[in-house]
Amino acid sequence: MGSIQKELSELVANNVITVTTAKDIENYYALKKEPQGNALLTIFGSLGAILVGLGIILIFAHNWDTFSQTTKTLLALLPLFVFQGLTAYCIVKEKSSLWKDASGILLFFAIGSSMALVAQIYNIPGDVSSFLFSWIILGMPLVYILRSNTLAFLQIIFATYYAVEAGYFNPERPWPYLFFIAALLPFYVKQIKTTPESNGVSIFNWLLPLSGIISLGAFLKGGNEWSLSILIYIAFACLLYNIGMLPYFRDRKTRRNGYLCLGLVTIVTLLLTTSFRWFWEEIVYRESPAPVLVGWGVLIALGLGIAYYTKRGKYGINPFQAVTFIFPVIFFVGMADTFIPVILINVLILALGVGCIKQGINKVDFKVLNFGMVMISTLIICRFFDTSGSFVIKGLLFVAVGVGFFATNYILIKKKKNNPVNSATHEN
Amino acid sequence: MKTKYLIIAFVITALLQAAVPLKMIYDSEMTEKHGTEYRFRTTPIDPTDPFRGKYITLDFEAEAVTTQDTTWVRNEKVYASLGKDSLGFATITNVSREKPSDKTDYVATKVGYYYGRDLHIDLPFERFYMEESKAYEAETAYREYNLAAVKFMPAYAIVAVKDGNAVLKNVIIDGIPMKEYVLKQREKSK
Repeated sequence: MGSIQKELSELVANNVITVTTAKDIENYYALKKEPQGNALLTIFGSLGAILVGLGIILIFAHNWDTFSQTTKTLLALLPLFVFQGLTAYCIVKEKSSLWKDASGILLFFAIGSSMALVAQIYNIPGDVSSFLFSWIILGMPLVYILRSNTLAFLQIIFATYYAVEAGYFNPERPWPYLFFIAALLPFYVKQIKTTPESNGVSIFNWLLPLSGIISLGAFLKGGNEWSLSILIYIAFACLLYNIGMLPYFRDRKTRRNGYLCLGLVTIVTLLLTTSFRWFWEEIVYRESPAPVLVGWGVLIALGLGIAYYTKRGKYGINPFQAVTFIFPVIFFVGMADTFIPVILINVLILALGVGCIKQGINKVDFKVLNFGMVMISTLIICRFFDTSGSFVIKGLLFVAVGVGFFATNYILIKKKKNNPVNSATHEN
Repeated sequence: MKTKYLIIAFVITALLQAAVPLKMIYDSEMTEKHGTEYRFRTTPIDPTDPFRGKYITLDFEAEAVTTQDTTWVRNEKVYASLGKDSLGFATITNVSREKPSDKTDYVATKVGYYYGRDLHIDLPFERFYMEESKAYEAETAYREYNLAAVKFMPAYAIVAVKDGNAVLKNVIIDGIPMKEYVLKQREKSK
């Protein structure tokens, strides 16, 4: 607040703005700042509740074998009933979201601890995934009843945990994961509509794509090898990136746009992986299970659909969105030949990197410029390991890229100095 | 008005949340109190569950039957009928996809794997939860006992069975409950 007042008095002193405008601006920020303390309290309240909840679970997991079975059974149910009472009280008295968040989180963990302790007392078997399944189902209504962001985040985290347990460590595909995420979507959409600028929505924007990236692998099994997985992962990453390019997300700050950032990083990482020749040499094309192919089709269709939708807007399609259909083409070329796709992928990464650098310089954006530079240098480092060229040439390439880093950033700093207004308009 | 609906929704949710552990307690209590007891020969090992704590996994001797049917699928739901051998330990007399219609005791369970005419099932009481410091000691105690015992009495699990439901009541080693055996070993090593 202090810094704004200082700036404002300077602007008034230099006749840039009038005193009334300065007052208006001051009032605006004063109003905007108000909920800050509350938000902080919600965060710490939630964190506290999560820690207490986890603590209760750990204390129960000790297995107090000196207590009688009846005592243990009562203890198992006690936190559940206490926190159900507390939550009911918060709903009836229409307490603040801080109270609802905290009591909801405690109740969420009490559901888990009661089931865990009863299972412990009676030696009821069942793996972790089926345990998590019941837990998530019983906790889901609380998200809507208490309208709690934190509970929704916990549900996403637990759903991801479920997908990992059920998919990676067990032979099944974790289909219920899709149901869990779908059940949370109405809540997410409502939050986007009512509080688009809130931190809660930003966390959703990061947590959902991250959960998707982690869980996707749990669905990709059953007779198919990992080259096909890369094809599907790239389709998924392109879908995330395309979602991030939707006007709603694109018009907001990059740090709020987890779809764009995670999509971009995943696309580039996977493209770099496929830029090695051994990748194409080791591909074994076997008949793939139908659900995997259908899933791939759906991902591609959704990605292309959104890309087409954003193209109609004011932006036009960008090269990273184009990867959605370029990569599958290269992949199918790779079915016939191992050399052409390697060349194509390397050219593609180089083109994307140069595009970033060009865009970064044009728009005076250091983030985009340096992302492009990092892409190209990583590509060169990768080629350093698998190409049998002369050390002199490799060395010169490294020097060239290093000089490029300095030169482009220097050009940009100069450009920014010459044209300060232009540089303030970009986030992406 | 809106709060009223929220309260109704919450009451339903809360009842469901309470119903799950209560049903678990009820089923287990009924089986424990009114079920028939079986003794399963077993070998214990100790792992951890992130939520439920330390337990020892029981590896049962009686978990396979010989069958000509080769169409068993992993995790398929089956019913295992129980019987007793000459020493009074539990045996599996039959595995079928339908509930046994006669009065024999059975447990509802899943197919583990089928190999060389032997159908192995996962008995639904392979976890015996123990206080965290005792679970590991139980495993090592059993291993040592298994190697050193002069007069070997097999370790076994006492399981109550009623209407397909099974509750593992205790694990007996050298004639006494596992927990007491661990405490006795602790006394000895002092």
